[in-house]
Amino acid sequence: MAVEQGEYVLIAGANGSGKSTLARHLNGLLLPTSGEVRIMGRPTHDPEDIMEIRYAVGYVFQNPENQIVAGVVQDDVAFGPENLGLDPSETRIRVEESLRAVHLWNLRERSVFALSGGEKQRLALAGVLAMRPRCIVLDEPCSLLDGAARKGILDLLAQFNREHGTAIIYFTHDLAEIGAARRVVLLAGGCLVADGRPADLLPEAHLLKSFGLEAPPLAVVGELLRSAGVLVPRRALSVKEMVEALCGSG
Amino acid sequence: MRASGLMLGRYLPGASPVHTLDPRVKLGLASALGILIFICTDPVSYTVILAGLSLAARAAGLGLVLLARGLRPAVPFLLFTLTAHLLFTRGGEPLLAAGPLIMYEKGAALGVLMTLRLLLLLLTAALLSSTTPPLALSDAGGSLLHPLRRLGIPAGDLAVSASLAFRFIPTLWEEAQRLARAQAVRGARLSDANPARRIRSYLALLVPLFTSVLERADHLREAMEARCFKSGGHRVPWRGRLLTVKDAAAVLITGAFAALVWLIRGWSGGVGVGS
Repeated sequence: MAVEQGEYVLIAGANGSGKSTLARHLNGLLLPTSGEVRIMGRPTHDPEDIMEIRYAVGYVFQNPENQIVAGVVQDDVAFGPENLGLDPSETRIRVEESLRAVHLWNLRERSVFALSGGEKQRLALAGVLAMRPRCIVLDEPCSLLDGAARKGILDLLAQFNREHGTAIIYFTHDLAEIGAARRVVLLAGGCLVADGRPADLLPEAHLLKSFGLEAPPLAVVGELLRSAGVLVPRRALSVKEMVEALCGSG
Repeated sequence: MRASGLMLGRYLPGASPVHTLDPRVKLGLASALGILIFICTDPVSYTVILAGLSLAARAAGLGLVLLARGLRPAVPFLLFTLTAHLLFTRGGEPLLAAGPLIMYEKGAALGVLMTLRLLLLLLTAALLSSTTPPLALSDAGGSLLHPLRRLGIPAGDLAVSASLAFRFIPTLWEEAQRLARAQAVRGARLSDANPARRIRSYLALLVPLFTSVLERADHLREAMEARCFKSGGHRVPWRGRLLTVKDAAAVLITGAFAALVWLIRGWSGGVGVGS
């Protein structure tokens, strides 16, 4: 499997399918015992390249509580750039840029304990953005968040992908978090079992069920409409696309 | 409000001249004062140092009484020091005798001086910690220890460890409370009147808490590595700042004060008791 620069890939699988293990291989937190993982052509098991790889591939964990290392919002964002040995003036620029990008600039002086779950996860994202990665790997970043906070994160990811060409590799068990992904990879029992476009895979409720996954609600609605004779396209997987499809066809 | 909230080691936000000093300068001056307190062994020097600390506490908008109130948890320790010297240090004329216990002149003098010395050290630490945020303090420590990197002392790692400890104290406290509640609803007797049963319940709390701390530490290690942290690596703290005239003035004033104490110590040499 290969991911290109600027791609937005959703990798989905049920519990125990190997999502976190694969995710951790992508920036060298785990090293392969057989086979090889290459980032920008460099094998992750080469200690010489590991810092370069971690610089290029940012990683957002499931629980923001475990990845926030400082007590104050802006200090946490500065942690990565500080580790890169950047000049303090450059770090300041990156801290401001990243906090503005995730809409937390107004809370920069705040204690991290005063943030909500959604704000903490956006802070975790800002901490990664400040390192200006070429790719962001997210391991179930929204599983502890409510609907509004989840939408906030997905919108931000779509924006980074669109505006900066940052590759996004999003791991989840919930296909409703499809966001702006243009490719879906399914994992089951530690193996890659499907790789295709959302429009091809997500409406396949039976296939998904066999891998322990549920089709996203709009894909189910689309299937029901199609079986009732309403011609909505399979790619209508967001509310906006569904409304356009229905209004256009009606 | 403030008085009841003051504890040794707790930061009290403020905008006083002491609060706004560079944390590196404050840490350096507090350490120098600590050394001075150790060198001095006579009551006159200690009185002058106490007066100096009182002035500094007033400049910080806190006052010596407020600082001293924060030292309440240390009172048993101070009393122990005093009593141990009164009972077990021999020398000079016996002052009091009660059965086999005899209090000697030297024991009384040394007991009072040692207690005073501890009190002064604690007051200095309280003044530093109540006017400097913990993170700024750990960064300052790392910055002051930086030259020792050449001797193989991991100054940067020590500063990061200290700031992580500060960062995780509230998290671990929450975790402990969560576990205590979880055990209480399943019948643990954490507020039992019987101390033995209460201690047993708390011991049962320690194992899951310890496991959870280790798990968190492992997650944190991963998160730090993912953001390019490398033990012994070259970190550049972004809050680096230049020293100001105010910092230089604080160094000069403290230097002049130390010289004064040194002179007084010379004049009143006869009263001192060796440590």
